[in-house]
Amino acid sequence: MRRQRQKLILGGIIILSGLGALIVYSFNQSLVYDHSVAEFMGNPGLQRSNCRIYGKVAAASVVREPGGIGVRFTVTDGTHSVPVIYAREVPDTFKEEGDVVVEGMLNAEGVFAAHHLLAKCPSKYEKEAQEAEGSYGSAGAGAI
Amino acid sequence: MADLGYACLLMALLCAVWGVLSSWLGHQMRHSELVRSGENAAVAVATLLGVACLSLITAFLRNDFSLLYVAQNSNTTQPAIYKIAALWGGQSGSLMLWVFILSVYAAIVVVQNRRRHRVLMPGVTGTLLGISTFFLFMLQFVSNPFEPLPRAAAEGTGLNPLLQNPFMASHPPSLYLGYVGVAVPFAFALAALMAGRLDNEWITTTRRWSLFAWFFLGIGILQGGYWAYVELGWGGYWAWDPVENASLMPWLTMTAFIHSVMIQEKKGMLKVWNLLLIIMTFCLSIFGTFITRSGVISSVHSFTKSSLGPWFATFWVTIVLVSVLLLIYRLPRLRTENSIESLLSRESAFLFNNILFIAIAFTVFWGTVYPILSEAIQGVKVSIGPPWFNQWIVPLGLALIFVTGVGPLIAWRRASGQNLIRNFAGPIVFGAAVGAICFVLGVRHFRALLSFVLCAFVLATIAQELWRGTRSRMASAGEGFLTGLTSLILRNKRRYGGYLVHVGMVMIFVGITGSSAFQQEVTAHIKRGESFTIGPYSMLFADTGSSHDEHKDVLSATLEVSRDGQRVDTLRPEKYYYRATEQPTTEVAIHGLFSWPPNLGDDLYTILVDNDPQGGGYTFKAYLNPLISWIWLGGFVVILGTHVAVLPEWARVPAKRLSSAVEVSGVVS
Repeated sequence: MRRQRQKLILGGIIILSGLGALIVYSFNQSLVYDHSVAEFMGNPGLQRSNCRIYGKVAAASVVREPGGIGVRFTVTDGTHSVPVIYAREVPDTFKEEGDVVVEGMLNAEGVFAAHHLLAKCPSKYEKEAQEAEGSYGSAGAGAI
Repeated sequence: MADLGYACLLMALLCAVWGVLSSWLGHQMRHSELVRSGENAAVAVATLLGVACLSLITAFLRNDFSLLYVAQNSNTTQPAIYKIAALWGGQSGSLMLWVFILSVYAAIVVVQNRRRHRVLMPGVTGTLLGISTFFLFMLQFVSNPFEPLPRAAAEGTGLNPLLQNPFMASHPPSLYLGYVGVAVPFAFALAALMAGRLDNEWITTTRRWSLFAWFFLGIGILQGGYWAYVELGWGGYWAWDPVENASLMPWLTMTAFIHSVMIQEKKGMLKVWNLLLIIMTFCLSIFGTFITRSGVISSVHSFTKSSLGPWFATFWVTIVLVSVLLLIYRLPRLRTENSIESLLSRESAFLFNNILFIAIAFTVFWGTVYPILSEAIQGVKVSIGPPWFNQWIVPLGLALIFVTGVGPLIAWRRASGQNLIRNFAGPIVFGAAVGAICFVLGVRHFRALLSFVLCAFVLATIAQELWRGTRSRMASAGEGFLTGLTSLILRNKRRYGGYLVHVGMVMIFVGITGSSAFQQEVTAHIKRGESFTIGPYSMLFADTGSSHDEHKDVLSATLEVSRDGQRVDTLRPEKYYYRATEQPTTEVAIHGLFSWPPNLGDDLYTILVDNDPQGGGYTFKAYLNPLISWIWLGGFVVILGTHVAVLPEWARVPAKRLSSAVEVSGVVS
């Protein structure tokens, strides 16, 4: 009975750790790194692969594509900026000078073709707190 | 009013501290009056927190903008229902609601057990009040909902328009009822460890509490999914967002717990495992509260960056350490009474069920926590997309459906070939037939096909059980089919309630499969009088409209929907522009479960994306979501099944003890 139990525990541990290892391995394969605009501009290696850039939508840069769906805009960190094209409809929270995360890669024309876009809408109080902290990363998003 | 609330919070903290001390001292000194005093403290905490919550609600209703929290989450024009819901619209208020619910649970437990479980009670009261003490401390010193503004604001900011939705009134409280409910079985588990009462007492006495917590977590998750579906306008209901994940994880481990305690009750096995599961579940529920409330992850759910982090981390580590050390200390007394004899047995089916739930919970945990740790420790921001979650959770989920079919029917100890054929030949044939029909109808998506086959298999096993039980009642008691079926279910509510829950879960799986494997989407840029199509639907853009009220401008479009040439519905997707926040919101229009007549096959989900005032063109987006209604319908069946499972045994009043023992063995035999 005792041996049986040991076998059982051992078997369980082997199954679970094997599964765990596979999960962690595939995780590292599909991880996407987030970069600031400056990091992206400063690292040509990044410009050849799928990655995410976070920053702000530059003021007066949003141009709607004729036909209604899709936008062109510039994502900026104040000093550096990258032109972006996003071919799908933008979320309600997307607006100029708002925080944005785009995922995609640079196309042949040097425009960042995004296939994924996240927009955040810091509300008034949170915006103040966020500016005081000076950090983008953990800024509260619109709430649900 | 605010002063009253403030004072109540402070007094509640003092009472909670006293309750912990007196429970502990009372236990050490075997002084029953001190233990009693700790229990009375629990009732006092609940009363004081009730008054505190009421006074905050009053402040909201009276537009008392001298309080920071009120000014942040309400304004004069907010409807009364959202003024009340604003109680949990922000961080400190929702922490207060959390501890209020906990204190009410503690008071109920105390009243229920005035004469029972006297050995366990000091530990239970002490644990519940200890948890309350932490939250009350946070409310007092870190995030106080009664914090005044230096100068009263003339007008409040108001609740985020995205939150002004009826689900705001029900989704967060549901989740909280669940998150907090886990604390009760956890407290009994800790008390059992402290007192060395390591039989099944702590499990049987908290069975209904566990189901209660599990139920509200599940219902809360489903409501969240439905809310996202009808409100956010991206055509889906689940995005593996950290906050969604945070509520799913304790639900997964709680589900594992609810299953594996049956093995302990029946066979005296898995004792350590059950304790670990409830400890894990409680830790995950605290973690979920922390993630939701601290803004540690930037997600659509996070409220605000705050100073809660280090406190919560300390609390969390304390809970883990105390629980695990207690468990290790009692390990010699947690010997198993039986062991698994064969891989083909109900014991091993339950074990596989548990392994699968834990594997899914681990996957979700890793995908949720790694990005936080990576940013916190290495300063590198990373993200992981839904495809990775789906890649792992879909196969694990499919295996889980299979076990759902096998577990309840396979023989205990060691299944013979005869037992396997008798129980599974029919369902396997049925599953294969459904698979063949789906294939002929054109389903070529492998995972979806497998999912439908397994779902059919599970349904067939349950139908077969019901049929066999009813038939034997019809033969033995001479009842008709319906009477026989009803009395069958009522005679073993725990078992058949469980089957009903399984049916509901299968329906949910069918809905998830259909809507994720076969979703279609289309975008159209058209003018009035033109139409566009998706799947069998054709939508004629018939009219536009605009209106205004005091907060917003509304733009709407009328779509006349035909299915295979027949007019079926008129949809009116809208776009709101709130003047105060300059934020547009999308109001989707759906031809689905709540249309008349209801449409259960495939939801047509329409969005008005944009309009072009010069050219007169409107941009629409439509999604076709096959079978999605079955997710919500399955939710209702789960609700029904859970209610059946917790119904009291009023049918057999005499020999109550005996009958509940029979009940326990009935569900698993």
